[in-house]
Amino acid sequence: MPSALRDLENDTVQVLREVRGRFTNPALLWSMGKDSTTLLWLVRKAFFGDVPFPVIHIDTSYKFRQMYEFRDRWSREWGLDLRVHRNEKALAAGMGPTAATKLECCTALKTNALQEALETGGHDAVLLGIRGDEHGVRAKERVFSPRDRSFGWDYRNQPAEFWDLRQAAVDEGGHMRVHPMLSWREIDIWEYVRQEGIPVPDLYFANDGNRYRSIGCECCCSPVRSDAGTVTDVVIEVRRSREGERAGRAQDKEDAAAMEKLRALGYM
Amino acid sequence: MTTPVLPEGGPTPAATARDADTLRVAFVGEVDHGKSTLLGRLLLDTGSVTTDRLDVPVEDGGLAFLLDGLTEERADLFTLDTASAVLETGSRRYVLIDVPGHAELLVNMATGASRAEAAVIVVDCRERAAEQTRRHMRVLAMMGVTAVVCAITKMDLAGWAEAEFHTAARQVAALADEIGLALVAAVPVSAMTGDNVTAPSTRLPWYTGRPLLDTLADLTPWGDGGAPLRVEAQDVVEGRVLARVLSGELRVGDRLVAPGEDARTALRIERFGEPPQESAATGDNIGLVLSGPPCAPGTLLAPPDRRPLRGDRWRVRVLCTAEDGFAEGARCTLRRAGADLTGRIARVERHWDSARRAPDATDRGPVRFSEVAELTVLLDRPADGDDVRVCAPLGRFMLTDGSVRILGLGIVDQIAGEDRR
Repeated sequence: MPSALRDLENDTVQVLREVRGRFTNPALLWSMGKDSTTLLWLVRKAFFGDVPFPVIHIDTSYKFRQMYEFRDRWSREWGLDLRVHRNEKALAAGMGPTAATKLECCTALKTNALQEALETGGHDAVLLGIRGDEHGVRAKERVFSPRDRSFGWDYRNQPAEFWDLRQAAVDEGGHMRVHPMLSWREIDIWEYVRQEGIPVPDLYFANDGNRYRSIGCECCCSPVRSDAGTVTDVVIEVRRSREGERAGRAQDKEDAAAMEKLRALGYM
Repeated sequence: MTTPVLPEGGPTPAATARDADTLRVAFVGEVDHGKSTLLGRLLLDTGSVTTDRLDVPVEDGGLAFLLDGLTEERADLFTLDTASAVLETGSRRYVLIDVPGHAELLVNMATGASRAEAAVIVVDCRERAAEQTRRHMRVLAMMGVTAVVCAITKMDLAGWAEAEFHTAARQVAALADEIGLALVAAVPVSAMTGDNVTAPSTRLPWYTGRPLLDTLADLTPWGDGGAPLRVEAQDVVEGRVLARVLSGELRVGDRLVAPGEDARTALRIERFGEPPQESAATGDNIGLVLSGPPCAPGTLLAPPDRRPLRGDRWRVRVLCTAEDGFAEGARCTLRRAGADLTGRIARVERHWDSARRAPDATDRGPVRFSEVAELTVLLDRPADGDDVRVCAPLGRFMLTDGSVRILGLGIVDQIAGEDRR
């Protein structure tokens, strides 16, 4: 294994094992995208095939059909304790990408649904597959990122992390966001997917000259022109690309600081 | 009681680091000397960032914005928190780490710097080494970051003058000597124009060295210098110990001993989904099947003939990052590899501003924000540990008050006291 990938794998596995030791009721957030699927794969590696955390899917109901199929297949195969959460109240009231701004829709169907999921499950930590190279704001995150009761991210006062040593305590009523994939880049994920044979949804591979580089809600994702039909093709394409990975994600474009606003409210 | 002051920082140099093809480099230095801009220039001129990230023109400060992603950072033109980006050359992957320069953001600076094994000290050729330059150099030395280059920046604003460069470079070199950092090179650059950053510059005809990027290739991090084998038990799954090799190399058949227990033999080294391994290297997180009963999470395993020191009286050095500081007598926790160690700050031997020279006199008063302090910590019970120069991963810790408050980062200089082995 190339040592850079081995390094990333080691560091992530260490965080996962530390989380199991330090928190009483952690959960993992799985969106079926390549990053959180890789994270799930690394959990299985860390605990020798076991996934010792409940796996939460925050379902906006607007995801691609292929993502639901992928979820159901692999959660069976891997024996996951899968918990699907939807903001049913908002959905019943008609919330959707055309009913409101993207910021409002993401907040209602993702952030608020996540809030409910964590409260219902009583989780003191939640593992997320976000990466630092996705966005300038995500690059400012810590591996252990405490959130208060109101879910806010206090980016002005993030706790120290020295070497691989981190404070695991959160204030009463808060929870810890844990980001074990922060140092991975898009290309690292694809090279690791190729090396390990990690399954990912077909949406990532070219169909009629298009593929998705980043997946989420069907209504808010645009494909990129591509003939990359295999993981190897994707590795080569991503190595060459000078385009941003999230260029096809509508919620990032609405205004320049959209991601920061979303994250301040507790978005993943 | 006074103990001799030990030389700063990490273990002895060795030929190889944990992985030769990744180098983590922190860019440190005074506010507005151009850390983010220089880093942005390196990323841009090597094609390491996607086009959408340069959303503000270079002449309007867009280079710094490649890493300063927060609205507040962009509005007020400063780096609030650390961030990193990757640059790849033919032979190496560099993780370039930006840190804030403001004195009050020392926590974020130290967080970023602790992720690095090498550093570029960024110095404005006109202002030379300033307060935070000195402080950051002290922090690097304490952390054992020993592969260091100095970039003398803004040469365009000094008319590319050789004299400016040499004066600044000499001053930084003298400071490095005093603090105990070895500078590999000093390189004149302009991040705004890009001169001598990734390619040689015709505007610096008097400079005979190589551009900044090429000098990074000479930075060889200190390896673990023959550090003894140390293994941390993280967890147990079905009789298998989930373990991390903190230092040294673990081989099947090795004898390992935990405090107060009989020696065990390493029977199998495993990774899920991979064939069994003969050995595991520093940093590897593995499954370990041992003879005898599995050991509890947090246990430190070591070879019977090179065991750690054991004691309850620890001499440590701490960089205080708590705004309201701490004082002698306070309860504390040393969070480190393995289990947390609890105790109390039995004595503040001396402490001083991290940007200054160490004083000769003892000073037992309260330790303030951004000071370096030499402390004696009395642990509640004796624990195994290593001097940072023997085994860096085990000789480092985060000091907390036992709840949520982080007091600082620390290194272990000496372990003494009751031995109940």
